[in-house]
Amino acid sequence: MAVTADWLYDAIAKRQGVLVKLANISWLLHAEGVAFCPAHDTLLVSDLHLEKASYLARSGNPLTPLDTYATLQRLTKLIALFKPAKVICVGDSFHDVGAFTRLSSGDRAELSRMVEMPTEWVWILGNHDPDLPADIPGKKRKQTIVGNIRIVHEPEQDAAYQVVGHFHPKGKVSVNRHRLRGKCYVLTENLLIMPSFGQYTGGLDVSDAAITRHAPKAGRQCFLMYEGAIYTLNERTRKT
Amino acid sequence: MPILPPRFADWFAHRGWTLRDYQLEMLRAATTPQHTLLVAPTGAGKTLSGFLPSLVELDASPRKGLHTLYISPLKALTQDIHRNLLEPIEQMGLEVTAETRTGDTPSHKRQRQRKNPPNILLTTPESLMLMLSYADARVLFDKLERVIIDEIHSVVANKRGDFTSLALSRLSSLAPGIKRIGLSATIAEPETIASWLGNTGNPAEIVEVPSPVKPDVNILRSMNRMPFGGYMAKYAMSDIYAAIENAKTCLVFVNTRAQAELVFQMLWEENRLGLPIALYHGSLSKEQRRKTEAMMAAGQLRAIVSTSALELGIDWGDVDLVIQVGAPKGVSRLMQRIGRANHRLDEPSVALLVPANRFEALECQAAVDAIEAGQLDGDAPQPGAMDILPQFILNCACHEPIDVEEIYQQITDAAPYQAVSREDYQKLLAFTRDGGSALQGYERYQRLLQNEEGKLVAANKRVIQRHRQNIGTIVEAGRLKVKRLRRGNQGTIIGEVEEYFAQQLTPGDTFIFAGEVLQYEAIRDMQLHARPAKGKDPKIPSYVGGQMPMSTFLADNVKRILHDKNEWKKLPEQVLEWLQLQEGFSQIPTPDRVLVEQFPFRKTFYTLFYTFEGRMANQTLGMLLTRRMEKLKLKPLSFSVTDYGLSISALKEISSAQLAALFQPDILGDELEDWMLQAPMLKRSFRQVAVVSGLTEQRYHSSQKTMKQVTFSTDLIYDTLREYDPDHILLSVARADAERELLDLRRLADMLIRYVGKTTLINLPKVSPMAIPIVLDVRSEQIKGAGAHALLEQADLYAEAEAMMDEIRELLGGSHS
Repeated sequence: MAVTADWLYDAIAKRQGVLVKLANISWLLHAEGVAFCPAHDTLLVSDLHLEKASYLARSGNPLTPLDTYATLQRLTKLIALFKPAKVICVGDSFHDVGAFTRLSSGDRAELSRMVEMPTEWVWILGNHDPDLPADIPGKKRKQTIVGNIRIVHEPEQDAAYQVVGHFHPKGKVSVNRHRLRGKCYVLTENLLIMPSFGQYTGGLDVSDAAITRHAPKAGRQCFLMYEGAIYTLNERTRKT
Repeated sequence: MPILPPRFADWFAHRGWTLRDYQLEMLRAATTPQHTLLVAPTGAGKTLSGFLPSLVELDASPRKGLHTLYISPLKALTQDIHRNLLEPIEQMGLEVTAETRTGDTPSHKRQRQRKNPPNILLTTPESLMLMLSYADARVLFDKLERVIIDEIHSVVANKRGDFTSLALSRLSSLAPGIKRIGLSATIAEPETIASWLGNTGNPAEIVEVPSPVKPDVNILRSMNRMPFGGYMAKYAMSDIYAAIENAKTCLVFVNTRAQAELVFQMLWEENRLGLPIALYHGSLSKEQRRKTEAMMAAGQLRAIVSTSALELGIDWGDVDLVIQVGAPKGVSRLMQRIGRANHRLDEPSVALLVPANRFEALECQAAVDAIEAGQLDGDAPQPGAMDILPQFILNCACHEPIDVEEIYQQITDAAPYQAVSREDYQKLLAFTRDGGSALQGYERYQRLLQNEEGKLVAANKRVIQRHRQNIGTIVEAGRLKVKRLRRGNQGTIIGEVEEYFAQQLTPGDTFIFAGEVLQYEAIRDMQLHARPAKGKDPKIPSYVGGQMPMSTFLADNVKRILHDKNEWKKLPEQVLEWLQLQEGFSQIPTPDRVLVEQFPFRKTFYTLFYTFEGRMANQTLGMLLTRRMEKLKLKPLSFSVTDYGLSISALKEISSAQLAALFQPDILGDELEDWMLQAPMLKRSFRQVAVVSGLTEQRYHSSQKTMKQVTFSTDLIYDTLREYDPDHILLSVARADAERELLDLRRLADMLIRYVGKTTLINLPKVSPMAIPIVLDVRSEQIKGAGAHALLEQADLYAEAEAMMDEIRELLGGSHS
């Protein structure tokens, strides 16, 4: 494990992360969109949506096909920073079932190198990637467990504690009349919703019913990521 | 053969008209192959003159198929012109068919028009481009003889004009003998437009109609106190109302939609007699606007409060007074507005200018002087916007297989694009084909494929379909329809507001729209639901991009008036008093130097730069100066701008040595570079460029779930390109666009070079009279959506302004009472 207490302390002081508890375990929610669990030396990341640009390009949008490259670059850097024993991708790692076959040879090699970095790599299957081809290195699972927390792409009824992806939460905050928008973590007593990590992933506002259904405003905290820093979102409950 | 056939001569005689010299001139010019530009004042019968040669020709040799294409910048104008055109056709019994074709034309009619086109087709630039993308475009335009571009002065020097010039170039390549006729209001330099109208290197011949009668323009002299700042002219409402009362029919022009709503409200509060006064702006629903237009045409209205939406074309007949509320911003623009009154050439139009604050009074006087002297200002031509080229290339490829070299020729044949380099063209072409990324090893999605002859064709139907749905250059901010509820959820759509404004509302909030106070209820199905209510402090929707900077020409005139004391006599008394106080307390800005005042205020130091270079250039200057002040450790806090000047507040005082280091053209180097890369400005430009160039589609409201996949923010693409493909052509296109449209860099650079070492720093104990309006401009740093805010705070500001003036009077020992 590369992460030390001093390093963590420094990161938090610089607003690069916040420390939260879920199921009585500490988690560092990092401002670049990954969550680290020191107790289990595990790094979580969600919704990479690799090859989204090439998917959209097929329907006529001449998007630059750089999203996979950019996403892998960013994630590799973070893995090198945390040096975790285990990395779990919380679903929708590939934008569609054909995504893997569209990877450029360079990106494919980069992906393989990245998966070899930790001791263990787990792909959680999501609604965008319900099937992953056998030649992708790493384990493929519908769900997995960290401590007593279930890691699964979409929330399930029967879990006591769980970490999910899927929703791409984003939020906005006003500072000195400037409005800042950014992707968010959403945390309740028993649920953590991860922000989407993929380069070309959009977001769903945290006030959307799809999110409040699982994380009602009353009992949650949102952490907004903005240009390398993380802020607590102050959600005023609106007067009616 | 007499140039006007008897049937036409009879018709003219019957109407009691005689053929005017320039109309004769247009008929003669029609027989030459050269393109023609007709420059005539409003009310001269410009449009009829444009059509006359076509009607005569079609009458002499009736035919099937398209003969004349008429292009108007306004959809509404095509309907109006169509009605006016049918009148002579019917009355003379000509065998000429004329139809309109716009985005509103039903598809069965469009189909029919393609198979069996009318002799004269009235359309918009966007519809023309769409027609040019059809596989049968050659058949449609084969016999076209003439194309008329109306209100040409309003499209030159903007993106829509660039777009139109490319469409014209393409049209000329399909029908080489085609003759272009431009119709323009009176402008400063017709040569500019003549070059634009002709193809590259072949400017159009100019037919100019002198305007014999100068308009009668006056500045309001109110008994009420004119405020120092603010834009709503509340002080003048009773005067405006009295003017409406005395006129038969009156057009009240304002500069922004927010002003329109508020002035309309205030006038109704004055409306003791219950005069029929209406409201007109571009965000009201089409039905609302049609209704107002019809009432106006029927003579049922006494006044309309309007934005520029009523500036162009449509003939209102009986308007006998035009009132301009707020600064005119440009002489040509003001003339266009004034021309809406009294559509007869031989009688003067009557206009009243109502400055909203004292600086605006100077600007009004400058405009009056210019009109008196017969001077006009005009937009300088600028190179065409590059983001339109991918759209154009694809448009050509949707029509037929294209030869890369031919398309380059057609592009450079359009005057705004004459200097496009082969290199840039190749890059834009590559972008159009496959996204144009420099990175290797990626399988690319091809929009254009090469056929056996080596020509490029659209890859498939989807590409063509997607392109056709996205033709145009107008990128709209997300908008929501406003539904005015009456009972339950029943109601009517009365217009649109920007999504940005809607997001600021919470249920129960009230706002002013379409002239009444509405209470916000909810957003349902892409509509903002609201019902009539009485509310305190209603908000006013603001619209991005409503403000025009003052023209350089007017700015120079304002400086001249300030400098020449003989000119002061013409100004309203309150303005005169204000200038005299300024002279006693500080200095009056001179034309050859930039006056800089510094004084302590609100516990910080304020520096006032009197540049007179327009809002946009001042905004940019503010950004750059504050950056450099940061480096000099002067701790700048904030700045605000008006058309006249820039005010910066900082914790430290500036010395004259520091000032010299600040006010240098080299801030356009380092500081500009730094700032451009960090500012959200480039992202904003990139958003526009991404849509126009076809990278992404118009962004729809986020609740449209089906579109969500495609419409993730273009900011993400921008960031990705910046970091991983920094040489991508769209980045440089976005940059050029920002420099042009958002920064006014050219004007700023001119000023910085002109005034190097020519700044005068004056240290004052208190804020000067002239600084008050600028310091108090609360729109500082929060350009968007701040209009409403400004309004709510205005009352307090006036009180503050008065207090400051009192202090100054005291300091000066009561020399002016």
